[in-house]
Amino acid sequence: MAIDTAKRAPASLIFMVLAALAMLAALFSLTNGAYPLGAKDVVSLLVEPAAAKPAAHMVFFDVRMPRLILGFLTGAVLAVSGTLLQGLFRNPLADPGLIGVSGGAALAAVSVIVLGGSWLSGWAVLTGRWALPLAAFIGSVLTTLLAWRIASRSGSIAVATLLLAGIAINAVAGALTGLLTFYADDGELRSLTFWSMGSLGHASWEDLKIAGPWMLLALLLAPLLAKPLDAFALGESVAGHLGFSVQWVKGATVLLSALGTGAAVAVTGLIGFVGLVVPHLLRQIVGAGHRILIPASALAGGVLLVAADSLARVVVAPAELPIGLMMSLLGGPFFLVLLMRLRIGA
Amino acid sequence: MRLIGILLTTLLALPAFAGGASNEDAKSSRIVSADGAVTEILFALGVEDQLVGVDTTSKYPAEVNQLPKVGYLRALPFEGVLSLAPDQLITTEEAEPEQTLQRLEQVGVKVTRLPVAQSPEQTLQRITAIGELVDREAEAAQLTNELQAVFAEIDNKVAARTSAPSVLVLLAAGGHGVSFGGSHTGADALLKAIGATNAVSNIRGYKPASREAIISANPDAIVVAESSPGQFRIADWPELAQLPAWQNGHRYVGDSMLLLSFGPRLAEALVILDGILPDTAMAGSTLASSHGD
Amino acid sequence: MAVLSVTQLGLSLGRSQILQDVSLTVEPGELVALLGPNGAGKSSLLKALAGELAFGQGSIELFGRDIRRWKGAELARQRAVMPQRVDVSFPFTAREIVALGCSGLTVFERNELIDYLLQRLGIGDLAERLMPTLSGGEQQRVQLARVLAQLWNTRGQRLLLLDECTSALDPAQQQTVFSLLRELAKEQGYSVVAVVHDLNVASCYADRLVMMAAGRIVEDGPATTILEPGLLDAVFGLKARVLALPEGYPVVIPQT
Repeated sequence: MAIDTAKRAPASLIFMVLAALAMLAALFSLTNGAYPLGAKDVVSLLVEPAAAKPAAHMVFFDVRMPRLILGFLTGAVLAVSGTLLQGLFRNPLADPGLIGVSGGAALAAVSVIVLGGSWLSGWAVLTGRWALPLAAFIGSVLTTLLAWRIASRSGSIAVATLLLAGIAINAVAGALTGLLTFYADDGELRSLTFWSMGSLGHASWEDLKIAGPWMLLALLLAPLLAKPLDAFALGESVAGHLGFSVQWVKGATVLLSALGTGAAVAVTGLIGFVGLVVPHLLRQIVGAGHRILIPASALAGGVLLVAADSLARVVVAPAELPIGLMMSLLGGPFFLVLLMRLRIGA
Repeated sequence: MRLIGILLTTLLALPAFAGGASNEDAKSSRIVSADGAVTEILFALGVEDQLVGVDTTSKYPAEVNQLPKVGYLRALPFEGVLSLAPDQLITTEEAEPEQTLQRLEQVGVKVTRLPVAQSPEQTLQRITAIGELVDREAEAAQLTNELQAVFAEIDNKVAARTSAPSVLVLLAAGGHGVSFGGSHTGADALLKAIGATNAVSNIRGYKPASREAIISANPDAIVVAESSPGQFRIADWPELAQLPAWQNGHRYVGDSMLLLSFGPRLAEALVILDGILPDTAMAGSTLASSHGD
Repeated sequence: MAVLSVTQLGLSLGRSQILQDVSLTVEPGELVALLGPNGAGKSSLLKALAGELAFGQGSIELFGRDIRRWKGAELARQRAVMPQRVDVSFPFTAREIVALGCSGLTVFERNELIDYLLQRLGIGDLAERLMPTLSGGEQQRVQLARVLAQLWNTRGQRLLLLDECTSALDPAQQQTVFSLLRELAKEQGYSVVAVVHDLNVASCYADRLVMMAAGRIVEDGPATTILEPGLLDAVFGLKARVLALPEGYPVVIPQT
């Protein structure tokens, strides 16, 4: 048989492995952290919650649990958005950042951090504790809609223009963010630096309540796009010939990515690389078909982020590394190795 | 698959060095300090052995480097702080996130958020407050008295001065360039305390310094606050070196924590800065010698 | 009822007129070859028929209904399109590509159909190969299999729009493909509109030849009337002899 025949593990095996990894990552994440609450303590905590110290109780139920769920959802949503957008743009280098999601979120977040006490004090008062995440969410969705608006001509969207519009909007948002940074004081500067490095450290049930539904919505609806995105791999016109409503697919893809990523970014800050690396890596293992790729990306993205977050909170304990930083630290070199291996293989 | 294997081994190997919280016998009270000046005050009050963790802004005295660091005071990790099993966390209003502080309180950690001190008066209040928090009222009173004596002398000299000299404060942090300490900064507050005006009061906050603006500022004295020793090299800044103030020795280059933290070393900072002002240059030595009695 | 009926179609891109006054009817079971020099408007006409290009004047009716009143999914069951070039952006296998054309089948039925079509096109052993590892001709046949799969289980009228679907194939493979198309037309009643470059292939397999030049249809008829030295010279600038074969169709022999 020819050597080029695609060697792929059966999908069921891959999902079993990913599910097992997810379980492992979850267990690891729940039993590790700066606070001494290991597997044994967790078991006794679960068996006899009343007997536990209030601190241990809080660490497990109000810190590690929401953190695990938020981490998993965020990783899943970032990876799935990456998969969707790579499929839409027919480019393995696309990620949610490209359509302006992160640029818009960053601009909105920095606006709140820097202007929250002055021009935007009304917003800050109105939204209270949610001033920043809400602004980031709105910012990311608005910039995406703007890119969409620019790329649409008489009801149809030019995908290449959408990409360019996203890049241009990112540049403008980046410049405005820079301008605000210039006016920021020392403390604000540190705050926005930390925001841009992402963190799951403040994850709470409230965060999950406001961001979770959007992320779940994106994750649950994404598989519906599997078949149309397969068709998109042959080009927009072929997808149309095959009977898919091309405009609808484009709209749904961009909207789901923007909502999901926007919600994730709003509560965690900027976390890069997941959306780029996970789909790219999985395509080598499970193939390019989106029916498998989308759910596999969700699982793998979740596992990756939970694992990275677990590392982030133990390597410099009792302090924590920002998760976005951790991802780029791990993901960057990993991606490079992958690229070099592919080149050698080719 | 091999990569997944590597990831797995890493994950499984980690618990070995994770969660290594100190379990030594708790003394009367275990304290985490999340502010450089607060840490300095705790050392000055002699309760350093109760200190079980500090934030990354705590750099003085050198002994703090042996303590566990809980990260930056604007991004305090709940689990990280809690893992040190503190009885109290002393920090400032700058501390974040709100949620971490609330949760710490909920599990019985006494969290105190002191106002940000930016004047001799507020510094004294802060010392007194911390003295009460750690049961060292007497030591705190002694320290405030010593500081007060110096502050009073400085005040006298300020009152005796006919005009306020203008001072340029530069902050050297990071590898590249320096920043002006404009209005609404600790640097500005420090200048008020020695009766000087800010040579760049038209700038708000810390802003990157341009060479032209340095020349046009033409101050009576120059202060360079370094975030680490030797960071500032005058050879890189000929514009500064040619200013009359620099030429005539009305200058000071030193540790930014000493100058800007508004802690127990504030008196030292004020004396140093007062010493470089042109009209008090000669009086500086007498003040330094009179400080002891 | 005609499968395809184009009336006085006019189409312009920017300021240049691409198609002008094009009228064309295709009946069930007819294999029509679109001929003409490069830039004559063959591909544009095919794109207009595929609904990819909006046209200014005239009308296009597919299966008796205005093209603009068809829903994409509905039309896809009766009409399939093979573009000149298809780039596959991700490493799909040949089987996955053909599967895109299959809908409403069980996994078993689908695989059976895919294997059958690939077999018929002479690439039966390439089903599990990744597209980027296939040669141009192999990829082209995989795409053709996808296009055929799309209409395979449809009842009633079917229309294939093919733009140079054998451009990367050698003569024997070309023969395989056009024999199959002819079989589908004659036995299953498929209507086929194919842009063809090889005049002799058109002559051999097509029921009708439509000669285009400068955005217009110059001639429309059986090979015997279209493949005529005077017209070939006028349209292509081709100096050729045309021989009538005993099989009943002419053959074009270029002259030095």
